[in-house]
Amino acid sequence: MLRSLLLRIVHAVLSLVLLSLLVFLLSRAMPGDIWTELQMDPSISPATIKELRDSYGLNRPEPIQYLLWLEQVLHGNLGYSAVEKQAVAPLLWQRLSRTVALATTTMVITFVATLILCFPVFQRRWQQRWLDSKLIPMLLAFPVVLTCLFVNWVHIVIFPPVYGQEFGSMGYMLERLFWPSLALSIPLTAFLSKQMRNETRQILRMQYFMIARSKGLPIPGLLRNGLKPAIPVFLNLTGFLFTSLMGGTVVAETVFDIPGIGLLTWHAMLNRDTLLLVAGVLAGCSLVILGNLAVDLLTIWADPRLRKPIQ
Amino acid sequence: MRAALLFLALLCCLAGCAPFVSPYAPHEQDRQNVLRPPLFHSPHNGPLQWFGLGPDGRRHLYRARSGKFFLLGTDIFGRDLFTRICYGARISLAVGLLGTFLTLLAGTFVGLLAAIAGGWMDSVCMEMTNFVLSLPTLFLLLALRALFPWEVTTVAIYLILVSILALTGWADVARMVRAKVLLMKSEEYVQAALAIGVSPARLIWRHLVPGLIPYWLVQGTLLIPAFLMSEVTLSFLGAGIPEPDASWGNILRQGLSLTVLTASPWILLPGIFIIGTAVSFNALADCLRRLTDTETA
Repeated sequence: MLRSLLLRIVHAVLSLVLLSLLVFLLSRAMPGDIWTELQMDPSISPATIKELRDSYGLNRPEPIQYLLWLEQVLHGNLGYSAVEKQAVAPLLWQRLSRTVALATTTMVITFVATLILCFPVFQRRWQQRWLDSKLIPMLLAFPVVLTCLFVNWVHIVIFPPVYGQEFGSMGYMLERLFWPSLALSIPLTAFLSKQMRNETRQILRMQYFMIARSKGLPIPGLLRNGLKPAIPVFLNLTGFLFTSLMGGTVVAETVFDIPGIGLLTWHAMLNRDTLLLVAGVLAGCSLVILGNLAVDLLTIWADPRLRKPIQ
Repeated sequence: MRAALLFLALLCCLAGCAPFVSPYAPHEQDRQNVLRPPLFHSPHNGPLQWFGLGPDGRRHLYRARSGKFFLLGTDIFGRDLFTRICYGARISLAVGLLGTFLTLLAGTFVGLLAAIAGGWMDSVCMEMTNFVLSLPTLFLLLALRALFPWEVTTVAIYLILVSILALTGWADVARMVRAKVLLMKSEEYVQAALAIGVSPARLIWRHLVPGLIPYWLVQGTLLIPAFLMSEVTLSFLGAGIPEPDASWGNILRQGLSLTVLTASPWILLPGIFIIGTAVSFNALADCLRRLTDTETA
């Protein structure tokens, strides 16, 4: 048990190190730095610019630069955004909470919707056929861009915006988050319920479940026995969802104007704000890696077979 | 299945014969007719003229006898949406097709390398693959897009888009190709070929590639709509195909403005084409999978 736990954690740390390397290389490959603009000024000599670069260690070999950069990042220093005119780390931290809130509400909506869609027992045959061959494939093909725009349109038509609401109140936050989460959860629900419906259908056909059913076990008991073996599969799929969810938040934050990391990264890209862009990518990707780690650990808890070391 | 093929064929016709199908040029602006609803016909006099000669001296599928007719309405610059969807289909489909080709190429290369070389090479390749798979693609796409200069021609942007899509998409293909090749390696015909000492090139070309073809077909058909959606997302965010050239993503971009979205929701009509294309390709992939009996994730 301890070994497989440690293995998962080591794997996640390795991923984070690879991510930092990738992000560092990306930031080095991006054209220009803060001193590029100084070259335009004829009153600043190239020697001064070189001196400035050297004073920040940019003349050292690349691996050393990487280690220096990593040390700063681990100390929470992500640099200073020239466009936003403030330090990157606090800005990122402040935006992080909104993205996490958005992702959480999306996950909740996705789970509830999937749970409802996952009970073929309670559906007539034609409903099942319609769901499996029409609705779910259709929803799977919805790009997030479109669901966001469409939900935004519906939202505005039904509830015309009221100005002057108190920002920051709990109800307001929930209302702000509900619509983008709904838009984001449509393709996610389609993906998750497609897989989970197959899974539940298999469980329904299993002998132990049929016996329990024929002996007249009441519904709560049936649910408990039926859901348990589906949990590891469910967790595994949730891990897959995180990556597309994070990508979706960029679009949803843009369309619904929620100041989270996605919007921040997008603006940074449009403004060529390298440090902020790099920090945003680092934050977004680390969130997914950490989410996957959490899912992995939960899977070990849910699936006793994984507790034994892998041969 | 039949409907899917029909839709795709129709779409290819629309994209291929765009100058014939629509009576307008894609950049043609009509500031008098901004944000007109679908089927807008003004001044309305009589039915449409089919295969009529337009003022540009070419024959078009349909045109208004006099005045203007907009099949799917116009955008904020008074450009005909249907025309832009037809021309946009060219770029969006081309991104999907070339991106898929490059991704299959790159993924197959890595997968073959991992499966045939084995040992530490295999571990390194698979570690990289799992790492890329665990990253949110859109963030990576944004960062990669920032590597390239901003103001470049549409062709250059197109090539940039395709290559960054391949850079983020190869991992899935690599994983599946490796699994498939490992399976094939344990089979008798490959073992026999190895025993008589064929060269690696011949082994790959003669014995492994034929086994991968059905997988390429299925996975390729699945990747086309995925890349189409990536193109839509990137162009929508303003990092893809630039205006005034049309792509399905940057037509939708006008819907970012709330006033445009509420006053003229038909700006979302390209969405129907996107969904239709994606559903058709997915159905096609399903059918190919059943025909070739291939397992994909």
